Order: sequence, then structure tokens, then C-alpha cells
Amino acid sequence: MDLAFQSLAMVSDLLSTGDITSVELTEVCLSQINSSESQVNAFITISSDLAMQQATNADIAWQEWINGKSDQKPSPLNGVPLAIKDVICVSDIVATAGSKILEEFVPPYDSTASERLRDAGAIFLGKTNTDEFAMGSSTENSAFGPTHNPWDINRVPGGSSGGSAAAVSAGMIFGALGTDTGGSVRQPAAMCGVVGLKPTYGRVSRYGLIAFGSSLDQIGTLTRTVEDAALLLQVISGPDLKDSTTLQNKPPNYLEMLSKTDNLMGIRIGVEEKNIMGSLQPEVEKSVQDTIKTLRHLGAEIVPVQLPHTKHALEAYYLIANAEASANLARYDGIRFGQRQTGKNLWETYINTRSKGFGKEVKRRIMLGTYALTAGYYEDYYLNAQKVRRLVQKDFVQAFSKVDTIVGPVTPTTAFKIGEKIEDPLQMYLSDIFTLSGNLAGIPGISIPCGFDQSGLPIGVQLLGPTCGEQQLLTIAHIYQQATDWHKHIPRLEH
Amino acid sequence: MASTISTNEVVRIAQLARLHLTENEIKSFSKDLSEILDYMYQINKVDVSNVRPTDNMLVSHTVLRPDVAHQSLSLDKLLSNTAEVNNGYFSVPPVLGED
Repeated sequence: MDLAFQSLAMVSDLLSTGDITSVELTEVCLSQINSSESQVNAFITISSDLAMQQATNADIAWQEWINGKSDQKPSPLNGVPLAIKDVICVSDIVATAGSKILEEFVPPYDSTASERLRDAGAIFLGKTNTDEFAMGSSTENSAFGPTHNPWDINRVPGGSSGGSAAAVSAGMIFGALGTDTGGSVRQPAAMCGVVGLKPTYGRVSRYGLIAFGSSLDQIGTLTRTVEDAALLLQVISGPDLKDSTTLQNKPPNYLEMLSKTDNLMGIRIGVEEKNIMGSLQPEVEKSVQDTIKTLRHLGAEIVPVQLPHTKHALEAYYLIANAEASANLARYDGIRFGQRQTGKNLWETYINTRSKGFGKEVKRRIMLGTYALTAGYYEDYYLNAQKVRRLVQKDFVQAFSKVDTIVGPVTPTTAFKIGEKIEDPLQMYLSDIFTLSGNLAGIPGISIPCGFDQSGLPIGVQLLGPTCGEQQLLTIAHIYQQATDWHKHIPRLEH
Repeated sequence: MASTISTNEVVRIAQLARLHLTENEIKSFSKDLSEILDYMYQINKVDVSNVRPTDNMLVSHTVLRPDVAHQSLSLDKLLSNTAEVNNGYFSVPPVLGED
């Protein structure tokens, strides 16, 4: 059995019965990284020493449980190697956010998500590549070089959580954390043929997440199966005193509903009547239509829905996200942390530090955000965007009064070539067109594999759910995965 | 239709954002910003009369935590990522002076 491509749930079972050890699993991942990383560049930092030390401890915990010395069963994540996107702080491991300005930044604390994984006994194998400050849709905007798609190394893995998606896809890791501000978990998941879950805004604490657009940012997961996503979400979600924007209700058990039934009888699935289809790569459109058919065969009722304002979601999203980014990135002034380029006075130090430390796309977005907040333009841009955002939210609330989930594409095309869109920022922004309305509304979404195009590149389908609707979303997606095998295909990297 | 963003406008915005741009960056941002903002200006086509702007993503009211003392990070750790420390303080170049 090729352990490297097994699901997290499967290796967790093997750990709990003593059939494998965490040290062995960690070595499997390290060997996979060793053979593929030179082609993929999924990681910015590989923390193998920490991982082996954690694995040794995890094995002791499993042994004590198996031998009856402990009556506390370890978490299913105990001993499972995971990777963390490099915008999420893990104590004492460099967190670059894909930026030169944070090249040497060593966070003195864990993010809440990392802390919860650590407490569950998960193994931190490394920090994954990302567009600088998560700003991008291709992982090309990283100061540490682009990540390559394991299905075709001349293509992008999507972004900004491209490193996490590629690492899971290439069998380097059993699951990874990403972040989703406008689609940055779901879009790379679709392009790399893995599962990407973006929870409801506030479901996972943002404490220790390097901020991009604070009203949109949400930590999510990249895994091989929907069940694996549920396992990870169970551990990282829930209220946090360190983040007052976390949802205060306790998360439900995301796993218990998964296997209660194998059909979708009684489930109402919304499909947007117009607007979406037509601007898609034909194979993507066909795969999404096939998915809708499969869902119907599984017993779901397909219901047309209307989301009239989502056609302006792109404008609202980029205006709001960039405005928030320009404010959030004001902290990189070279004073308390990050690279400093000293000038003859404080003003010059700020300017030198920021001008040398930030890459082009980050500067572009800071400029756009600053402009949209400037006196004279604020009303036309930012304020209108915040009004349109409310209309987008209302569209979803109305739609979810009629349906349980809305199904549609994740991306207009499969993975594009490295370099293809990097000089055309607007085209790059348009690749997020189907995902970003979910962030504006704060609702959960999941991207799951649903086909391949003629070149053998994976295609994803998106299911959106109402606020705090993760349990049902995961259940529907899991039932779809039980009936299909798109998620079982693995890329063949040549060595 | 949004107006074109001139190179002077780019320089002004860059100053507000504490960025120094090269001549090439100024030219390319003038083009990029004009194109992107022109697209974004479509937001004004939406009828938003009587729509309140979104000011909070959450329905819940203000969340408070118990006001109890807890261990914070040590001074050494907090200062560990800065370029220059002086007697337990962040050290910076002169605020005023040579210009």
C-alpha cells in the first residue's frame, strides 16, 4: 500500500491500532517531499526536526493507549503529519507570509489553529508556499518562487494556498491548513484535485493569522477527502477568547452525520439559473452539469435560485479586500518586526523598508486600497462596495431559505500556465469570480474534485452553504464522494 | 466612467501608503490602476439607495472576555524580531531632523 496517498482518516486508523507509527508516517512524507519538492516547491520551510520530535511523542501517546496504560484516547490527529500555510503562525518557526519583508520573522507564539492542532498531537512538517500575504490566485506572487501544479509542473497550482494544495495533491502531507479571503482555499483545491473547505467567517479563530482582509479572512483546510476536512475542522474550530470575532456557538460534531445515510433524499440543491454558465471552459461546465446530475440521482431535488447581486461581487470584493489590506499592511514599517531598511530618519526608514520589502502585487493592492479610501473616492468605491456586500449577503439568505446548498463551479478554467496571467492583474482577479461572493457573505463553501479536462487537469465543483452550515455541507459532499472516485486519482510526477 | 489615474496621482497615493515607487512602477501602476479602477467603477451601477453599508460580519453583540490577569509573553520574546533594541525598548532612527 502506498501510504503517502492515503486519506488522513485511514492513516489515523492505522496509528490507533498500532499498525504504523507516527515516526514511520513522518518518514513517508519526508521521503515524498525529498523526491518531489524540487519540482513542486510546495514548502517555504520544512521543519523535519520538530516533526520527528513530535512524532516520537505521538507514538508514546498511542502506545500508552493501545497498552491500556492510558484511558484517554488520543485525538484522531495524534501523530498525523500536517502542513501549515506560511501566513499562519507556528511558534518558533519562521513565518514569511511569502514576503521578503518577513523573511526572518520568527513568531513567538502559536496561532490558535496551530495550538489546537499541536494539543491534538498533530505533526508540523512544514510551512507552505503562498502568494505574498495571500494576495494572488496562482502562488506566483511568492518571494520564494512559484509553486508548480503536481498534475502539470508547467502550470500554477492556483492560489493563494497553492503550496498547501500542491503538497496534499503530491502526497507530501495528509492535510494542510490554508486561508481563504476570496477563494484561496477552494480555488487551489480545485486546480490540484483535492478538497478545500472554507468555513463560516468566525468559525475558526484568526488569532495568529497574518491579516489580509480582516472581515473576509478565514482559515480552512486542504485534504484528500471530505471526511478528512471534517476531522481537521473539528479540532481547529470553535470560540476563542483571543479573537472576539469567533462565533460563540459551539461547533457540532462534524463527523457523526457523515455516514448516517448514503443518499440525498430530502436535500434541496440550488443551481443559479443564469449568470454562471457560459463564461466557463466547456469541460468545466460539463463536469459541473454532470455533478448536478449525480446529485439528482442520489435523491436531491434541484431547485433554481437567483443571486442577482453576485455579478457585482468581484468589484465589491476587490475594493473591500484591498482597502482592508492597505490598512492591515500599514504595520510593516520596520520598527517592531520584519526587515528594516534604515534611512536617515524615521520617515525614510518606513519608506525604504516598505518599498524594498513588498513585492509588486502587494504594492499594487496597497495602492488600490489606499485610493479607494481616499477623500473624494471613498463614497464611489469603498462605501458603495460595503452596500453591495449587504445585498450579496441578502441574496444568499433568501436563497438558503429555499435550499440547503448551492452548487456551481469553483473556477472558470482548470489550472493555467505559469506566467500566463501574471502581467494582467485584472484577468488574475477574474479567476476568483465564483468563490469570492462566499467571503463577502461570510458563508461556508467546499470545493471537491468532480472531473478532469482533456489535458488531464482536475476540475472542482463548489458547494456553498448557509452560515454555520458546515455539518450539512460536509455530509452532502461526503455522500457525493462515496458515489464517485474523482478524489482517488493521483498525479504522476516524473522523477 | 472613472477617471484615468495620472502618474502624479500615483505618486500622491504612494506617499500616503508610505511607498517609494521607481519610474517604471509609477508608469505601470498608472496603467494598472486606471484599468482596474475603471472595472471596479461598475459597482456604481447597482442601486444601493436605502441600503445600509455592511459594518459588521457577525450577528452577535460585542464579545467580552473575563478581565483576569494572565501570563503574557516575555519582553525578550516580544523584542526578538526587531532590528535594534536599546535597554528593553525598540530603537529607531531620529523622528525629526535631517530631511
